[in-house]
Amino acid sequence: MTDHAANAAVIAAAIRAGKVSATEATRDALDRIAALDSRYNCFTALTAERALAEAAAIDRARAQGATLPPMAGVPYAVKNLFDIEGLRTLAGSKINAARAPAEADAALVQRMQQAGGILLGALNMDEYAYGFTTENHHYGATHNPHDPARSAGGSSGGSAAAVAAGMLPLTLGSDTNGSVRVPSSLCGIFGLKPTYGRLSLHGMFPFVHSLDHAGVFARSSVDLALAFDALRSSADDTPAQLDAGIAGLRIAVAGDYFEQGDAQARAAVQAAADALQASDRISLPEVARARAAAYVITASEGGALHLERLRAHAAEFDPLTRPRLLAGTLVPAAWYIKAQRFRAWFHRQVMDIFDRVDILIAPATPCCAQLLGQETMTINGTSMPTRPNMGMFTQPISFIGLPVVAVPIHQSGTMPLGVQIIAPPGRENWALRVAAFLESSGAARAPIVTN
Amino acid sequence: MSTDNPAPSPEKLTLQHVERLAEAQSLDIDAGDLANVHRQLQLIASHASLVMEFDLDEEIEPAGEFRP
Repeated sequence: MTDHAANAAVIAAAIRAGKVSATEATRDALDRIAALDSRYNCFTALTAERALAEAAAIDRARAQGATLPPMAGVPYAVKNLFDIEGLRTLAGSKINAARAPAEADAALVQRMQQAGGILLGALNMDEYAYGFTTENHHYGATHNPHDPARSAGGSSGGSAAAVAAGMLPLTLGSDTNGSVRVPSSLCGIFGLKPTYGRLSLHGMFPFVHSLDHAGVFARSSVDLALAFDALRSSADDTPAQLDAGIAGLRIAVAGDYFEQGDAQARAAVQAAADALQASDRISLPEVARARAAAYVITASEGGALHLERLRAHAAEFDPLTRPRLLAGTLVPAAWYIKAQRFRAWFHRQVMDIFDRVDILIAPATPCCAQLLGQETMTINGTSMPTRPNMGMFTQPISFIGLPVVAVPIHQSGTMPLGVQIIAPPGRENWALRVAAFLESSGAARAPIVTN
Repeated sequence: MSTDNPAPSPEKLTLQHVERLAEAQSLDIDAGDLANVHRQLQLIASHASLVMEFDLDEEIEPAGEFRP
């Protein structure tokens, strides 16, 4: 029997060493999902038959003396906007359930299979990825393993909660405005959103073409690096190099706009800064406007993407999604174009800052997970709608496609809350090195929790 | 030279505007949704006002991914 708390790298090593078979690891993960998923509602489909066939192939290869790929036998699952051959790609919607099953796996699922990963199923999300809470009226809400009355975050809530509860060591998701980093923060696990364009989106149901990214969830930085090395498009990219430490990296705290979170958010950033001995603070210019521009682009592209479906099937949309998408179809072109021009400007300003610093740290969310169904939250005395504002710190960063690792900071007596480790484009390896340092120092950790 | 775009005024976006814009897009908004769509468009407009009031040199092109 495998240790359900083992991370992906440990499981792969145990299978390579013959301490456990891929079939045993797969059956153990399926058993754990069967025991826990009714509590958290992470999965919308299981692919047990396929998983056991993939595991058997790994075991046969090992028996024949073949060199196993790096993730051989590691169980994983994907947000249900990834194409899985033979399954309907729901993207959290009822409308897509009427589509034909996918004829092939998404590119990243193919890469995971080439790396030896064992696909166990598809995971819950906000409808069409438009939300930060995974409160889905068609497939139910995903519950936070730290407190099932609270949101797991979104839109990749099923991906995050499944890892936090120890059903799996690794899942894939997507991040347009924060949909990897927000649920990572609220479920207390590690999340990687690489540079825009770094991972293939082929075979993933889109949301906002200008901002869509794929990403990874895990309980350790080692597993993020392992998955990223398997998923990235170019064999010539720099590998993660976690053991390089943080020597030589200029690290600063992102100030001003990013200090608007509650006391716990500020404390999480301070804990990370203390561990990294990062005392410099840097202000990024016009961050509120960057977030606003991301909001306009998201609304407009999202509405345009779904225009035909809104004309023909409006009643079948999730009531949380439909009004937002309908409003997005009505956005004047001038607003959208100015937002895209501002994006170019903001990118230049932030690139200038990266001449002086290598890593920026900022909170991932303004507060910890809020109760499911909670319409408003109060941050530093200001009441604001919960659902859109969970992404207030992630939106300005993905707006210009920067790579980010969200690291979980657990403070005594509180729900977890994540910190963003933000790097220049193409420098995922720097962000992963910082995450690994925080993990090894004890400042960041992702224990399995099944409350 | 900077552009001079008047910022949108969310409060000027009425329910009637929403109905007319939706009609132009061949969208049939359910009566029960109309007020919520209106609120959402006003929220987008409030974000857009932050963007539109910001002066940008005309030479700045939209960020884009199209590479022929």
